[in-house]
Amino acid sequence: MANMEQNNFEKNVQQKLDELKIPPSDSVWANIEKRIGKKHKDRRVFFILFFLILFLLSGGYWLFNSTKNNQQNQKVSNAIEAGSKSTNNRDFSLNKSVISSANNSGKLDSATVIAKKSKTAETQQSTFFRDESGNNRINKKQRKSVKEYVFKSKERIVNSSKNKSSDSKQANNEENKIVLNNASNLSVKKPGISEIESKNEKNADSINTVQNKIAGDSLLNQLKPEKIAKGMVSKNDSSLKKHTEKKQKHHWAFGVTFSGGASLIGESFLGVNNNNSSYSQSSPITAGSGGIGNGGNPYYNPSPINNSFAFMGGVFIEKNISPKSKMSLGISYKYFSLINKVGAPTGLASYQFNAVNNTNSYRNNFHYLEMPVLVKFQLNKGKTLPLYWQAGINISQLISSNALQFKSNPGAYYNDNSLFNKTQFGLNTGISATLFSKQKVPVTIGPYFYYDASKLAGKGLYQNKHFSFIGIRTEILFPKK
Amino acid sequence: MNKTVVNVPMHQMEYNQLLKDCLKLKPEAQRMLYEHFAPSMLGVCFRYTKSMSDAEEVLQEGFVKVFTRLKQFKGEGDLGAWIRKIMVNTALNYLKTNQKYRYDLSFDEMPLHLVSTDNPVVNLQTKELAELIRQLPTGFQTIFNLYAVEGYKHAEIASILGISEGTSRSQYARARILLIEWIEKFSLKEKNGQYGTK
Repeated sequence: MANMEQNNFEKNVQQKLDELKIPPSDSVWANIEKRIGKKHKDRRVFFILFFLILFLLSGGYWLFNSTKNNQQNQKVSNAIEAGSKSTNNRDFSLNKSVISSANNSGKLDSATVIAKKSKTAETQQSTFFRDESGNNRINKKQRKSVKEYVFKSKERIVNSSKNKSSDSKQANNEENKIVLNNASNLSVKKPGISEIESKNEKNADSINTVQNKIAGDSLLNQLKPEKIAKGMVSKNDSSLKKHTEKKQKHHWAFGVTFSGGASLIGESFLGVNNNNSSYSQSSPITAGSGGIGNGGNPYYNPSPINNSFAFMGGVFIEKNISPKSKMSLGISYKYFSLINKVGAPTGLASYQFNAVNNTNSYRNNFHYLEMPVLVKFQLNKGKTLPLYWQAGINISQLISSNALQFKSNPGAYYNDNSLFNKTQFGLNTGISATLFSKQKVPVTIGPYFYYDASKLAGKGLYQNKHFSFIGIRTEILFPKK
Repeated sequence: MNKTVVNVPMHQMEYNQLLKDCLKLKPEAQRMLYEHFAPSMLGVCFRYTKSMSDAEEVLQEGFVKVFTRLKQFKGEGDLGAWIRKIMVNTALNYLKTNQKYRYDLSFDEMPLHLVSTDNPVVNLQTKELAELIRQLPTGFQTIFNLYAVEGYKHAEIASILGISEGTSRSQYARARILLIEWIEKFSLKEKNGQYGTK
């Protein structure tokens, strides 16, 4: 019964309070409108930047892959070219038909390795059959084995043209093995053909021996690029040297970087709208910065936060991903600072100041550890002064800070790092020129811009604020051993 | 300064349309939704805070959440109740994080108080009652609001505020005693004409 009576009181209070309606001031809606509008804009900007980065990274990856494939194709075609030259240059005491047959079979296999021109393969396949079938004495079994070989070769053409992954080197090796097997099969079978031929022609044994040799040489040598490449080196072939040089350029290079400039803070790019809006809204009874409200209830506004000096320094590794683009990864220390005016220290704790008579300058330091990932694209063609456009993402972690927060009533500045978002995601871009590019230690220098996509804090004096950095970035690459 | 509160009745159809338009981010619809719910929601925020400016700050924060999380409202329940829940949570969050309230919101373990059986008739005006609740210490005020007005159970309050159920009960009992005492005093003074009618 008592409980029911007790509940009556609660019900009574609840009923009364449910009726409580207070019209808010106009500024509330204005602020809400501003904030929800900004959130949508932020989201749009985030998506645009995200897709831009995605596009850049996928473009870089595509460039990297296509360059690699081109180089491999070039390598193989060079090897085949050199191989066929060497085969043609040999002085064999054979009749023309045997040599042409051998050369044709060699070309067919070359086409198999190139894995590009199936039409050529087909043409050569027919040539192969014509040569073989031109001799009426080839039995069906032998023809079948030749057909099987050609069919397998075509299959490999299709497979190898599909397989353009980074493991293509390994795949090539495997393919070479298969082709070698087939080549050896063919060379085993060839004596059968040559035996038939030998009935009509003289010196059958010598023909067989030479034919096998040619088949073996042309097939094996032409299908084994590494072997040919060695031969090419011995013959001072310049194409392989070029390839080796290119390969060397794809190694990671080590360097140091330093950037100096200004750290900017604001609710958008480059510190625009740099005001303490949340505080000016929250303290309506204010009389400007550091003012005292009426009715003995003092509310203060924080002093404005000014942009200040910043720098970054660290190490990085860089790699050419294509002749005109580079990728770099690094780790660096980042220092940002901001200045505001505070009153006298309260003496209660360190980093605690009054908001009355804000006359002392206070430097808010932010120390970060950062991991930048950059992609650079060369804008000009010259090698003496290469000009790059760079873009990338940074992940940074706040290590420490002495930044002050603000309490409007009673006015005081205090340190509370728990309000900060410790992990920050940023985007960077810049233009840079490489000086002394032909020297041992090239130096890259240029303007650099960085924007923290993450909010610095969700609450407090730095609520919804973003850091930006604008300055000069220098990179020094160390010589390769 | 004082505005008259216009209670715009809204039918389900209108609600649904308004919600759809708000989800399409139409500013007029957002404004309408705000105008419909803002006065009652400011009443909620007012009960949890100590000043009107703080109440408006909570209201502002709450409505930003409402508009950004509107997709999460599945339209099954009452939109007003959903918005109110957001406001209460925003207010509690504000109390926990704001320096002004953070230290007042510490709940000391208290011996269990018996809830008084006093059951006075509340003859006060709505705003007067709300003002009295706001005079309670922040801890009492919060628990009283959550239990008596929002209808949370002590176990739920304990979980929300990170305190024991016993603390919630004892704080509520003390708050109730204090409030009844003040209501009686206030009624008596008003009866004697000390305050006059507002």
